[in-house]
Amino acid sequence: MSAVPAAGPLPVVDLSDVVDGSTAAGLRIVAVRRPNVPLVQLRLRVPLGGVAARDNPAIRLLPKTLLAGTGGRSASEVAADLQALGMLVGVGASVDGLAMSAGVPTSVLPEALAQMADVIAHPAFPRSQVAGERERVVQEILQEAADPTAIATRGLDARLFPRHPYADPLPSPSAIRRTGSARLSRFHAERVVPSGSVLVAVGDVEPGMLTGLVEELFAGWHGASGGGGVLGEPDAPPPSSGIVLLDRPGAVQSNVRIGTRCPGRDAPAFPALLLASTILGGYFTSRLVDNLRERHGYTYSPHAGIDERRLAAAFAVRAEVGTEVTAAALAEIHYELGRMATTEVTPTELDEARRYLGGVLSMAAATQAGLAGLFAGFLSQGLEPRYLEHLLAQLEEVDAPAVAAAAARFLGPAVMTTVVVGDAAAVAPALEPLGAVTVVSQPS
Amino acid sequence: MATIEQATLDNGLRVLVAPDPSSPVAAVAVLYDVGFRSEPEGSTGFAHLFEHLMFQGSEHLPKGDFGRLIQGNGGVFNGFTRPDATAFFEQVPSSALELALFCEADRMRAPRITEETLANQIDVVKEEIRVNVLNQPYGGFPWLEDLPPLMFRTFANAHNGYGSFEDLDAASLEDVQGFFDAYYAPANAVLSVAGGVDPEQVLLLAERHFGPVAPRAVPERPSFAEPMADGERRHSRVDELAPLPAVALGYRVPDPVGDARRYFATVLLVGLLAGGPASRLFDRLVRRDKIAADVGAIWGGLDSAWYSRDPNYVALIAHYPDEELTETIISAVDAELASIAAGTDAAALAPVLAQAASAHWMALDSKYNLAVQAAFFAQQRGDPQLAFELVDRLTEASALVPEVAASWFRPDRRTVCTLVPGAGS
Repeated sequence: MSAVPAAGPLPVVDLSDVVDGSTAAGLRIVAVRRPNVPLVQLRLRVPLGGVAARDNPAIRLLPKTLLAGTGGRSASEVAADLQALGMLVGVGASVDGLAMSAGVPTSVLPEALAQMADVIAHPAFPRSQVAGERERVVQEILQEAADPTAIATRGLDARLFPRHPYADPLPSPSAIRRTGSARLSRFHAERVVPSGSVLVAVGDVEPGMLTGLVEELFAGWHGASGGGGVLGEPDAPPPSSGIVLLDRPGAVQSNVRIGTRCPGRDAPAFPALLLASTILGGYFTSRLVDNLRERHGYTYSPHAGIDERRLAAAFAVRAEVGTEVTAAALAEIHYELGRMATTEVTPTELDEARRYLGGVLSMAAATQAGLAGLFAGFLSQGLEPRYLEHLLAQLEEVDAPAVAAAAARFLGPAVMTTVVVGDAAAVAPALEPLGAVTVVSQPS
Repeated sequence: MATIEQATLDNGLRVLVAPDPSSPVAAVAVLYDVGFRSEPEGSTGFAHLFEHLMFQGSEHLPKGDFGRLIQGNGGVFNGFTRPDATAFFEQVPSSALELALFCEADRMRAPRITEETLANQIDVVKEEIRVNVLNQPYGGFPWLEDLPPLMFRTFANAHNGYGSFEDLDAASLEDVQGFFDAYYAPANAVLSVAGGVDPEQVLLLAERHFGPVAPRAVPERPSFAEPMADGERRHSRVDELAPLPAVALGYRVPDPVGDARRYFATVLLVGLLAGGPASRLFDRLVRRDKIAADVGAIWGGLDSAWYSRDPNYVALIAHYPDEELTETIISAVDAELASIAAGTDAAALAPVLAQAASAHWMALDSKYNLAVQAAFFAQQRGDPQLAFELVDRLTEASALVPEVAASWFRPDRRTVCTLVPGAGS
């Protein structure tokens, strides 16, 4: 009764039945039949072109106002119509694009697609609703400004993507309040166009039938491609040393972010880097969790991962640590980064991380929503629909020297930018031996 | 419709299997019939701390091996603690089913918890409380220390389930052993398996790995029932980290099991009132009157209406820009409740049910959700099949929605907690 049972092979991911097409207007359609349950998961991704920092308020407002009424219907009517069909709808936006998701019953698929087409093609941005949504966004901004984890993430992004929209500073309430219906209508007309956009459909549907329906129901969505130009690639950030300490007086924890720009999925080194990042802090069985949580009890849920944007990627370690152990935790993170960058991982560590990634990805691909999300994420980064199979094969090829090489190049402490949000009076003296500390006061 | 197979081992462990031959995934959940309602005075937070300790090693799996085996074979795992239950689960490739069962059985039979791992996990839990509550704007509002002490009188129902640091620090290995002996008996648990598995094979493997766990007496579950508070209760506190006010209106709800039809009607009512952008309160407060930023609901079982037995509650929550609007918001809630109580026909509930059906199917597509849901329904009501029949039961309860609104959601039966922003804005 003591022998641990062996596990067998991972599920095979087979995407050979994915259908990849496009409408006459240039909307790409990626569809696959997975009749697990009687739903279809739809994901629409619209790149927004060459946005600049001044577009930040419009990007914030667009997902909130897109459902605020169309040519023929009020905001309440749109909400009621979506609900009556049993649609589960979400809308979000970032510098990289607008994202609409909908889980819809197969039995009402044509009606649901017509709803999506109407809100994406014909939003009316009624003045009264836009005014209300502006105030909601202002409140959301005030809440984000008070959230220490959000402050820390923005603090690191600002330093990894200087002078680029990816830095994504919080817009001021007055900038939000200056953004009106006319501005949103113009932004929508220029940027929310079918060409370059992609609609993913995964579920209880024949791809051929879906493509026909989309061609017909999205026919009213027009627009030239490239309105607003192309977003430029972010410059490399200047070399960074020392510790940026964003002061949050009285904080009982410090929010630590240590990161660097790194290669994205199109780079040859990416699979090895992904495995290095996973072994370092990508899952519970990682070195950072073992060290910071399971040995020292400094933090609840430390993590290392790669944040991929369309035009750039960044690696980051994050850990929310007790105020009194901030410096000790930072020293342990530096140690683990240095160990990754200077010594090889063990064959067991590599095999476990590889199987973990393979298992998690293949299990995600086994649900409608999971597979739709994977497709949407990869396609909006410019990758092909069958990229997942490619990645799984790539991961099989990586050996320990390749992981060490990627870690040496991209994960060493020397290339990292460090941001800490915490009580400067309490943590700065202890941090000084680890690097020059620059204290930044937070706006109150 | 899929059928859930059920069996009981000689040691009393109940076993459920929800097979789906098309799935490459096996989800395993073990649900113990103990939550934070059962922790004694002076031991607040102990049930949750114990959940952490169950990951610290067992007879054949030294600390760290559990995670390495599950994740290193392509799986994920976690656990969570609720008022009446502590859940542990793995989702793994089907080929790792036996491994997951072995790991769960080993810690059900012989967890290995030391002074060192206890001290370590007390530190980890404190950081969990700091990140989710103490260092977070709106942390714990209103479910941790706002509503329960006002809605309930007994320690079991009223106390903070995350625990005080003082109580966590006082936890000893004797407490750990006592809690394990009392509550982690096989007959006090449900093992639930869903996904690409063969029911006969699951029962065979369950027998092989859990069969040797010695039977132990199961504690009589005490009644946690207590009478409704008399009249409305109100409470306000300052959150130094929050930039905007918030209000929570808590209502006791019918017994989820003993008064099941009214409870299903309550779930529908809350969907109609506060379930997303088409709900009555969102339409009125956010879209029409523009006096709230958002409106939502939270249950006594936290993230689900199905994770708590009686006594249970639901709270309607709104965030808004100005404290002066508090009474206006409360009046609007009363007006919508009165309108629903005055008459709500099937047509008004059909959209709520349509969305509930989509959410239900989406949940069933996740084998982890299915395994956990079936385990809760088996534990609470001996009816795991409800995991597949939820939408039918909700539909059948439609006619009771006005009555529930009228009798349970009255101003004199509610508890109002307001959060006053202390952060400069």
